[in-house]
Amino acid sequence: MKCQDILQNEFHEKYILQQLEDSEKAKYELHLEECKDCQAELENQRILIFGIREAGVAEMKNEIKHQVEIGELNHPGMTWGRISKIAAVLFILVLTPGVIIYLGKSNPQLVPALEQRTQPAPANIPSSAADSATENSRDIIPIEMILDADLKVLKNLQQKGTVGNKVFNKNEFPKVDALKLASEENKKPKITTGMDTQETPIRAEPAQSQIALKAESSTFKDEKVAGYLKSNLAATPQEPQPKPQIDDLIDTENVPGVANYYRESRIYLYEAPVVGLKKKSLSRQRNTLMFNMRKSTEQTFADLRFISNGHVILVHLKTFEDEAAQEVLVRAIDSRLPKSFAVEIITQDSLNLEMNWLAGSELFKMNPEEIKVEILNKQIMRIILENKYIYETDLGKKTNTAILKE
Amino acid sequence: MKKIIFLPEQKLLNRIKSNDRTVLGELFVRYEKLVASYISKRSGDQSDAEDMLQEAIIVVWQKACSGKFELKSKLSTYILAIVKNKWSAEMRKRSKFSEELPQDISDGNPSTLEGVIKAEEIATVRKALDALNPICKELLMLFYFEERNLRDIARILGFANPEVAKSKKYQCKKSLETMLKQQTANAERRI
Repeated sequence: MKCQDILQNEFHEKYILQQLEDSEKAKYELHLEECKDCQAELENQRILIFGIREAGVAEMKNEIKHQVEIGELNHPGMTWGRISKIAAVLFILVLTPGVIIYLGKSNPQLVPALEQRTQPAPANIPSSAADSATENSRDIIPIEMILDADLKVLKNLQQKGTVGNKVFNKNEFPKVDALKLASEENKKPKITTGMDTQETPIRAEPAQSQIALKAESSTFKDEKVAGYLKSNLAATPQEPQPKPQIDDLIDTENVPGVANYYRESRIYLYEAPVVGLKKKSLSRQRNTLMFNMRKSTEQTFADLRFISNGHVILVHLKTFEDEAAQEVLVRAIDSRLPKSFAVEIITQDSLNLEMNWLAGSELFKMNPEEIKVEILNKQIMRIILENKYIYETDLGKKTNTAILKE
Repeated sequence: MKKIIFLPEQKLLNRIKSNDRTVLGELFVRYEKLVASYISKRSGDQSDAEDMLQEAIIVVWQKACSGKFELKSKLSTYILAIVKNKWSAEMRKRSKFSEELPQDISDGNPSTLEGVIKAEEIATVRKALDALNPICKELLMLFYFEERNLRDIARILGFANPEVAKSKKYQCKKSLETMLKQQTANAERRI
């Protein structure tokens, strides 16, 4: 064995990682005893690899700490946050009818005006969220959205008129809007991932960091001419594609029902010439938004990968119809980004999902500030970039269409 | 996103394999009481418990990523076993340290001095790693720290195939080595 062979075949590294075959290892060790250069190189490699591992451990520990600090929502059971939300809703539920009755008794003229504001809630809220979705769910917030932690409480209230052992008269329910207003501050579910930096305080309140991100993006607005969108429609086949490797990212083996349809498309976002910035630096940048959407007999998936300068962000959207888990999971995978990245869910139920995808870091300054994803009726996924471009995929028709829209 | 129910353990492992790093916090929350109870009964405090659990989660993550891991018992049992081992090692280290404490670093004790030098060298690598192209840093982390195979790395980073990942890994490592040499040369010049 010669030094050159060892270097070419990365034997030092393989030796450290214990990847050498027994025969190779014996020859390598024999050579190592006599070769001082190789001993030194082995030591260098060892330090390099240990250094990377140490960095990995430190980063992962920070990440765990950060997630626990900001992610108290992941705690099961009752927390003060939940208790306060329940208390707020119950307070309004109990107080509002009381105030109406009191005012009605003391001043009958006020009653009609109040009744106009406080229409009763729908008589029968469907037990399955599948029945409750509407196209314009942004305007009419389904009852499930009001306080998702307390879904059962609200459902019982709507269906049976009970909260715990207390029985309420359904006609006295305050209007959904009143509940919405009361819980609005706590209502917007949000996930923030990424290794925060000094510019985005780690312990910042979600709402504040959202604003900060927006503000950071907007500073680039003047310099930027809107990018244009190119989609590879021609390359999109009419028939379902074979599953690509991205499939491994999702635990499909646990999914009931075989996926019926499958779509994967890419949207390339090229930068338009920008005034005041060097063109050369832009021409090399191409950001890709990849998504696929699959529908099985029981579930719908949408996976989005946003690739920018080699960074990959994956958002996995998954709708459940199983009653035990009526929630939409949004996961931003790969949070090793130098700066924050946020997903804001605007509306959500088991049929529709609309979210804003805000990316306000340096990395994304040339990207659209907002990528809005809508999933309508488990059938259509739309991607809207800065309210200008819509890319739409319809699983039912098995077609993809791109609509450029101002 | 509010999460009310915990996912089955196998799903957690699948999420690790798919590089879903949001699972880290969930694992911590899931087992913090278990580990805190174990450590507190063995003369450790809360920060010890947190540290041990973090390290156990990292072991689980690495094992799951390397593809050599098969869950034969409950994940809680596995995590507690790691914590037990790590805590025993930590206790041994602490008792050894307290015995050696009177000695000075500059006493010529080779093990202490070497330790300091090694720590410095590792810190230099970390510094160089931070200065590296982010994609390179990511790739090197995935390969050396998470011990993922090249196929996984290609998939996660969006490379066309494992061969591309291999060649990228080689280039990135070379870049890191060059950067380290530059840093060392600069440091020597300053001296």
